[in-house]
Amino acid sequence: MADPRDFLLNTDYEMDKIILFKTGDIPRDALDVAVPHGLSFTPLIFGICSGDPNFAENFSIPCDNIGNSRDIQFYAWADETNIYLSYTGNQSTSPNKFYYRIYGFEPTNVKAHVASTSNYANNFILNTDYNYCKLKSAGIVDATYYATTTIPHNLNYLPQVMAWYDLAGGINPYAESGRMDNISVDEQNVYIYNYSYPDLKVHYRIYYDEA
Amino acid sequence: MTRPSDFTLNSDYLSIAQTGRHSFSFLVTGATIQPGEYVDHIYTFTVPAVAGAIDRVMVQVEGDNKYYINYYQYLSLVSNNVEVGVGYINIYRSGPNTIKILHYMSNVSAGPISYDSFTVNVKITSFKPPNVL
Repeated sequence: MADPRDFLLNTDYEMDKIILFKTGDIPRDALDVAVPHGLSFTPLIFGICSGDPNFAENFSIPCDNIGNSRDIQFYAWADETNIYLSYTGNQSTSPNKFYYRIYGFEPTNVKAHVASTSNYANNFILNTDYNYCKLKSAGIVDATYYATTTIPHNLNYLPQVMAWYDLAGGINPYAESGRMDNISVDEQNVYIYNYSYPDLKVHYRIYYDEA
Repeated sequence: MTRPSDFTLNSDYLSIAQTGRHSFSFLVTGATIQPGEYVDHIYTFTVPAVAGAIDRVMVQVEGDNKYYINYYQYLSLVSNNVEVGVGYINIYRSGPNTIKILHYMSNVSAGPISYDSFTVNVKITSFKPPNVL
């Protein structure tokens, strides 16, 4: 069997499909600004944010960048109707507004019809100058409270992994290893440690592509 | 309108092109910190990517055999089962060619704390954001 890592893309393995793209900006001290996503389900969102409209300097979403005196915090989560955005920062040193680019995947428990997102006649939809990640497995697990939930991948190397936590219908991207809650990976497994939430579900995607 | 879940790939939907993989290690300088004080370091690395790249980051701190899939890695300094120092490692893209890593540690105890230099291993996979050439 061929090694998926030898391919830029391979129709034997699912490729990521972005079903949502939102861009814009929100002012400082805005909390839970609702941006309708127009989907019939809650998407798995991820993206970047920046005080620069060109995103030359950018932070992952969510961002908790308190180490450079700007005290920037930018959060995003989604439910079945909206994406909710919040931005706070140091009044003296942080930008008056923050820009965002948010993308979304369809959760594995959804099989919905979704409008096309690639409708640019002059841009590349696929380009074999680049690699496109090949999905090995994806799903939703109940993350045992006060314990570690293990998802085997058995690849014998470190794969790329993405994850989101799902609480009471709101889905948030993981970007922090908190004091107790975290997601880690080694050459055999993905580990979800849940300290904070009795009813936590975690959406995950494990790729054949190496980290 | 189609169901994307019916297809392994479908050109009706944008995807994300991976443009590079980078792996590096660096040494966080050890320190002695007095009560109520903190240390705050910024490390800068050359990690080229297109402007506005989406970076997936994995971080391993010396002594831990796992990589964490997070941009913000909490750190804890424990002495005799008591947490005496709290801090973090925070990673972000500071420009098209640079990644900055912030290391912060504060003393939350009544006496001085110290830690030795330790190695941090970082893996960054950069992606070209769709709709941006």
